Amino acid sequence: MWIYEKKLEVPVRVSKPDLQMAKFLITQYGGPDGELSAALRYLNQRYSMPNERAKALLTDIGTEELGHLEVIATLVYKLVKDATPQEMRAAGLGAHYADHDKALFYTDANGNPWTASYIQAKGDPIADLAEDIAAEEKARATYQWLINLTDDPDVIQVLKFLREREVVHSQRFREALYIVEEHYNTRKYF
Amino acid sequence: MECSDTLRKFQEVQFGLVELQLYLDMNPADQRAVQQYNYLSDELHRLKHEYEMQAGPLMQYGFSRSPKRWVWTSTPWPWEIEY
Repeated sequence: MWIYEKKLEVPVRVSKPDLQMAKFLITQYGGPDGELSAALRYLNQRYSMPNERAKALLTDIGTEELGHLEVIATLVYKLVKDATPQEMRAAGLGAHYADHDKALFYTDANGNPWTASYIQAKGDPIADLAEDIAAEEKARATYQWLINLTDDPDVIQVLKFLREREVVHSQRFREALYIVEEHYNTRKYF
Repeated sequence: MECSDTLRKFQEVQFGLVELQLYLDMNPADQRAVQQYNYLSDELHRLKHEYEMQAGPLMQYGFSRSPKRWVWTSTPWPWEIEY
C-alpha cells in the first residue's frame, strides 16, 4: 500500500518559463535513467531480493524515487504552463504539442516513449544491486548535464538536490552490495 | 508561523527522516540513529498537525483527519503551490 502526501519532498520554484529546459528535463521523467525507471526498477526487484536489509532499502529508495518523479513533473509543469502553441513550436516542442498538448508524457529528451527495457531484474542480488548502483550514477550524471544546460538558479537548486540524492542512493546500494557479497563469501567456507 | 514556513520546516524534518531511514536500513544496530529517528518522528507528527490546521489534510485514506468540510478537493496540489 502507498499513501499519497499532498506536498513535495523539496520546494520547487522556477524563475521564468523555459520551454527548451522543460524539453530536456522530461528525460528525468520518462527517460532511461529517469525517476520512473528508478522507482519501477527498485520496487520490482524487491520480490526476488534475498537479503533483508537490501529488501528494505529497495522499498525505501523506490518510494523516494516516486516522490522525485513528482518533483520533476512539477518543474516541467511550471516551466511550460504559460506557453502558447507557437512558443512551444519555436522551442522544439511542436511535436509534443501535436500529440499531447501540454500534458506530461513519459518520454526521454528526444520524445521516445518510456519502455520497460530501460530497467533490469535478473533475480540475482549481485547483478541487480550492481545495476542499481550504475543507474544511480547515470542519473547523477544526467542531473549534472541538466544543470549545465540552464542558468535558472531556482531550477539549479532543485536539480542539485536531486543530484545529491542520487549520490546518497548510490552509496547505500554500494553498502547493500557489500553486505550481499560478504554473505556469499562466508557461505563458501561452510 | 506562516503556512509556507510550517511546510518548509515539515519538509526539512522529513528530509532528515528519509536520510535516517536509508541509513538505518544498512545499519539497523545503530541505537543512536534509532533515537534520532524517533525524536524527528515526534517532531514530524507535531509539524504535520500544525500544517494541517492551516492548510488542510496532507494525507489520504484516513492518515489525516478531515475538517468538517471536505477540502481535499479544494486545497492546492503540490505542482500548483507557489513556494
